Amino acid sequence: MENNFTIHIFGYGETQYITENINFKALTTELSAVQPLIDDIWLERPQEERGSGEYFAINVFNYNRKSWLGKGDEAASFNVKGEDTLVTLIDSLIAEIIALMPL
Amino acid sequence: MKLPKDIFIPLNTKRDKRNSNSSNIAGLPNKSVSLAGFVKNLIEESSNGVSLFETNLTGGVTSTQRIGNSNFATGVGSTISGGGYNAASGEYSTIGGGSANRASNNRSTVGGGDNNTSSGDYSTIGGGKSNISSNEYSTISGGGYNAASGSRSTVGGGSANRASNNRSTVGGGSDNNSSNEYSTISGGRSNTASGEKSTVGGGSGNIASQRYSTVSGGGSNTASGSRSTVGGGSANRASNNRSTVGGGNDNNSSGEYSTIGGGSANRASNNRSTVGGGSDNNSSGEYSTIGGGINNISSNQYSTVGGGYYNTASGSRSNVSGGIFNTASNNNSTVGGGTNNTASANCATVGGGQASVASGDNSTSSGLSNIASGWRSTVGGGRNNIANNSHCTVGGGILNQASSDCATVGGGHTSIASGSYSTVSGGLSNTGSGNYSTISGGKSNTGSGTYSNVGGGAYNTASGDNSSILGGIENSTSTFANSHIIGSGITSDRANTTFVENLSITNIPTAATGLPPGSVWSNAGVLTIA
Repeated sequence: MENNFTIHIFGYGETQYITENINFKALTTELSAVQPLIDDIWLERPQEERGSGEYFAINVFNYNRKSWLGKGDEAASFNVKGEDTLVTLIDSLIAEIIALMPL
Repeated sequence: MKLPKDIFIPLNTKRDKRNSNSSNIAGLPNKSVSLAGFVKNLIEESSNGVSLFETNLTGGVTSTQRIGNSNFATGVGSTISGGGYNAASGEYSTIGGGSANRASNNRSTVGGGDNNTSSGDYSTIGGGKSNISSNEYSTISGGGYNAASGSRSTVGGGSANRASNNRSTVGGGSDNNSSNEYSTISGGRSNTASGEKSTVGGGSGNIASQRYSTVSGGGSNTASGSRSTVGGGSANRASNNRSTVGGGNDNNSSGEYSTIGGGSANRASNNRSTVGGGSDNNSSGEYSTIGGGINNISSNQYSTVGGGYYNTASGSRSNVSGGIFNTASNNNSTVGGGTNNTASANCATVGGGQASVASGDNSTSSGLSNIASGWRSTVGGGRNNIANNSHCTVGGGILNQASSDCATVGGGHTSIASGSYSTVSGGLSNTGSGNYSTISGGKSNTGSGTYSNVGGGAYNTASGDNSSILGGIENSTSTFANSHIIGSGITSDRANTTFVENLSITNIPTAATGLPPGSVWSNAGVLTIA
């Protein structure tokens, strides 16, 4: 895994993995590791966050920062920064995406 | 004349063979006596007791002492002018007065004060109490409990200051320690200049511990890198070579040539990194810069965050100008401002707005919750728009999507350009799904045939290749290529045909002359084909 990466999980149905040398998108439905990661990021939302979980995009910056961008005014939006709590899930997703990349 | 019992008068017991005859000296007290025949002693009674002025002239060596109370000028050529319990034991040493002072090395001097010791060659103490100048040419002007132990070291005054290395200086203050060659502390309290040619201007608890390092003032600052500088403030650290902290609190400039102007808890940890101010900013990339704000990060080489808070520029040459929670995470990426924007691909740009993403290489996004994820894709503004294929564009509007190569949605609402090079200029719920298809506007129009075109209207479908619908409502070219519809409620039933509801021709030719075959003309009111 590269040290500096970004993962976008877009609400319109694509997931994108970006590093300095890779910029690849796949259909989210082709990636089984996406939903568990979404679920765990949602669990990390601030306690005071009361909005719905409908998202426009979820951004994952390296292992320690996530940004949940809600879709619409009633949806939750929050940033999580800190511990590398989701390393295993993130690594699984990256591995899945890389496996889909053309050789 | 009888001397008190507790006074010891050391006399030079050597006989001066050249000057065996004693003689009076001009200016001496007018009462004098001669002792032992070879030394002339002049004793004066005064209101304080007894003063003895002794002049020894033995072998060219002259010592002079004026004793108020137990002064000892035992060095060759030494002088004690007054005071009590002083001892000038160095050659040509001098004590002007005071008490319990010592001038114990050659040409050492104590001007006055109490319990001072000038023990270095050519060392000087002007006055004060319990000062020690113990190395050659060392000087203490005054104060108390100061020590100048380095060669040519100087303590101007204050208390408990130490100038312990060659040419080191403490100007004043207290508990300062200037301990390396040419190190200087001007004043303040508990400062340390331990680096060669280091300087502490003042303040308290400051440390300049490397060559040419400087702490100008403030408290508990440390300049521990060679040529590092802390201007002031408190608890700041300039810990690498040529690093600088101007002021503020708890800043740490730990990269070579790194700089922090001020603020608090800022970090400039890589070579030539800079934080201008603000708080809790971390500039960790080589040549990275953070202008100010709070909790910003510039973590890659040449990355820049102008200000705002919780912004991150983690790509090489990436830039976040300001705003909140913005991220430029890939090389040459830029976020101009706004909140929660992300430019995550190489050369990607988010101009501003909120929650927008530019994740395709060279993509551009702006506005509210827009995504440009395709290579060189663009979303100019609006809300919830998506440009997710290469070179595609959404100019603005709401919930539009350009999803194929070079597709364009100009604006409008909920429109899709999904065919390569397709264009939807605007309107509501239009779809350009055929390659090179065009929909100019209207509502719920579809151009699904290659090179198909819908000019406007509503619920029109141009599904045949090269077909077109000028406007109107509920027209369809079906699957017929090159069919064209002008009107409403028309469905094509064959290719290469134009369908109209009614046709009115103005300025129709009235003769066939010059018309190409297939042209229509009015033959005295009768429509005729040439």
